[in-house]
Amino acid sequence: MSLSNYSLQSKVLLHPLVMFQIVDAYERRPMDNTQVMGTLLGTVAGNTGRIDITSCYSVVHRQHDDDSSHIDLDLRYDSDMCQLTQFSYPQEKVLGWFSTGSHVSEAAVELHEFYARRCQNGQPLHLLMDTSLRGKLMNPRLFCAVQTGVPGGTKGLMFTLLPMEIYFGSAETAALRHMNKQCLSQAKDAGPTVPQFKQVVESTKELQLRLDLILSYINDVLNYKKLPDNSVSRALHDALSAIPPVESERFRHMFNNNVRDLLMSMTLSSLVKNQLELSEQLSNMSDA
Amino acid sequence: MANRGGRHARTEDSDNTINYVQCDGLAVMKMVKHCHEESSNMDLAQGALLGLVVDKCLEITNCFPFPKSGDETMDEEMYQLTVMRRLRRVNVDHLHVGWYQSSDVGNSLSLALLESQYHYQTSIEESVVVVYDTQKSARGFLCLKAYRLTPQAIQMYKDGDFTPEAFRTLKVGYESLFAEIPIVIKNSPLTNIMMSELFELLPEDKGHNFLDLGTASVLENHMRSLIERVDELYQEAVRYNKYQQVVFKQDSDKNRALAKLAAENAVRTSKGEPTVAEEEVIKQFRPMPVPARLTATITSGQINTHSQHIAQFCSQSLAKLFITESLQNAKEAKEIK
Repeated sequence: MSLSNYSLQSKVLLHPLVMFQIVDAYERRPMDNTQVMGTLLGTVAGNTGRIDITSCYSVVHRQHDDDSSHIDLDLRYDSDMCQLTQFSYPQEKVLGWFSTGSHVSEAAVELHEFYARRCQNGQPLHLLMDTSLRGKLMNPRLFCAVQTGVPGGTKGLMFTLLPMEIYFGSAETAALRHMNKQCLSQAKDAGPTVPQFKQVVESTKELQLRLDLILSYINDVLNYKKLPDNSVSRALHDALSAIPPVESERFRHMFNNNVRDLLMSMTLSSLVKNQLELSEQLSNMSDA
Repeated sequence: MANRGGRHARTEDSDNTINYVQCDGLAVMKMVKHCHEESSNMDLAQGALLGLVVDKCLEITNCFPFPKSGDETMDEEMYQLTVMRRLRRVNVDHLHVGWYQSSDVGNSLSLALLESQYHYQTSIEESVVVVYDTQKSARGFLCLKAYRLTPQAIQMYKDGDFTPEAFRTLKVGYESLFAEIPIVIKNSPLTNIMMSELFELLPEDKGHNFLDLGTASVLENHMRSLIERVDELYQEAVRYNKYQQVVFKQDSDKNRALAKLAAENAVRTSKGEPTVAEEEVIKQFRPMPVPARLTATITSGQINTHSQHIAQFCSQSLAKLFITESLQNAKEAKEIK
């Protein structure tokens, strides 16, 4: 088996959903298990070599207390789940496996061999997440096994760390931002989904906070309280020049047009609503 | 909106099974993924929700997608059962608590949705339907709504009687067909830890696309679908009016015939001949079938949600416009200086 280290050149993107799934699986693990493991699914773009880890499912397995280098996977469960996911996401293929823990476990060699047969390219990826938080962070890391050793002599597997990025789609980002806001504001531990208007107001407040921050920085620099940082000022300059210069006339024109459109739409839609109410009241009137 | 909320609170008094829906972040993320993947090839995404019922709260802890509809060979029920059985082995809640669907703005509350939700709610009383708006969420507004049928709507559908009289006696209106259940998203502490870690990696400039000012196309879409719905409702109204005219005409015809008969009968009795019974005449006029009001009611509901969406959309767009105005003013003031 030749092992040119292909994946070092390709970009690996981890979708946040996978992390959610792993944490959920960890929380629902059987009583006597200390870790969970399962199969990673995703897509490989043929031309760019971009690898997307889009989903995963946990696999029923048994740990041995005395011998940590062996792990009993429920192979039938794995193949069943794989088949079922193919129905809804036919484009997703097996990419490797995940497990939880702070380091690559001894069972990894065995799992590597198993998943090497399941993967299309024979090179399974290994995602490790420290859900026990022993290392203070969950720190999702991606490994790929590389064969080491002398040709003809003893050979071994070395798990090397692969660079990985997290993929943030626009909808995912919206969901994440929303959930993060909820988990920060612990006043009520759960809040309903916010209306759009509130969201705009909130982000405006955020913007104001940031502007205040920048202002205080600029004032500090001007008053010789802080040393100027060239990269910061360059970034500020870029941000300021990003605002397109709009003539006052044209802006007024655009602004008035838009406001008029919106107000008209609002009026019309509330008119329609009132009509509906009216017609319902009429049809519900008793004949007498 | 407050008015509407109050109305919902009232409907929930009579429907005491569930007060709110609590959704796990995992389920939200799974729905987001599925719906967006399907919407890229213009399909409707549908899936099952798994969870459990605690007191008056429905917890959605997991979900899984239904297979693509193009595949006719497989048994959908069998598929669902197998998936649930598999998930049960990794300790996922296996109570089927409803289903989810992707939709574009406001069109979701359709007859098909009513039918499926009726079947769900009659087999599992607590079940909900979660509607996820792909378009709006892609623009940065997470939009998840949970709906249930009101008891009146279930009663109506069970009777299969969609005449105006039935609507009146059951007090079903376009607003009391579906009840919106407030939905909250809640994560476990461990997930929250994971998320704050994830949030560190989230680029600052992402996910603010809801502040975009180019809103004309969105508004146009909203308006277009609103106009379509209004057109539909108008057609329904025309049909109903036609029915009323026909009934009115028939009534006057009947009265005329009856009067004629009475006159003839009076002549007959004076001559000592046997009279003709009134039933003979009435039999000639068969009662007209009453047009069903269900479509009209559902369309009204859709129009209602559309106009709500438009109002919401406009208010936030106005807010954004006024932000830019103040920015522009500040800039101009500086230039004058």
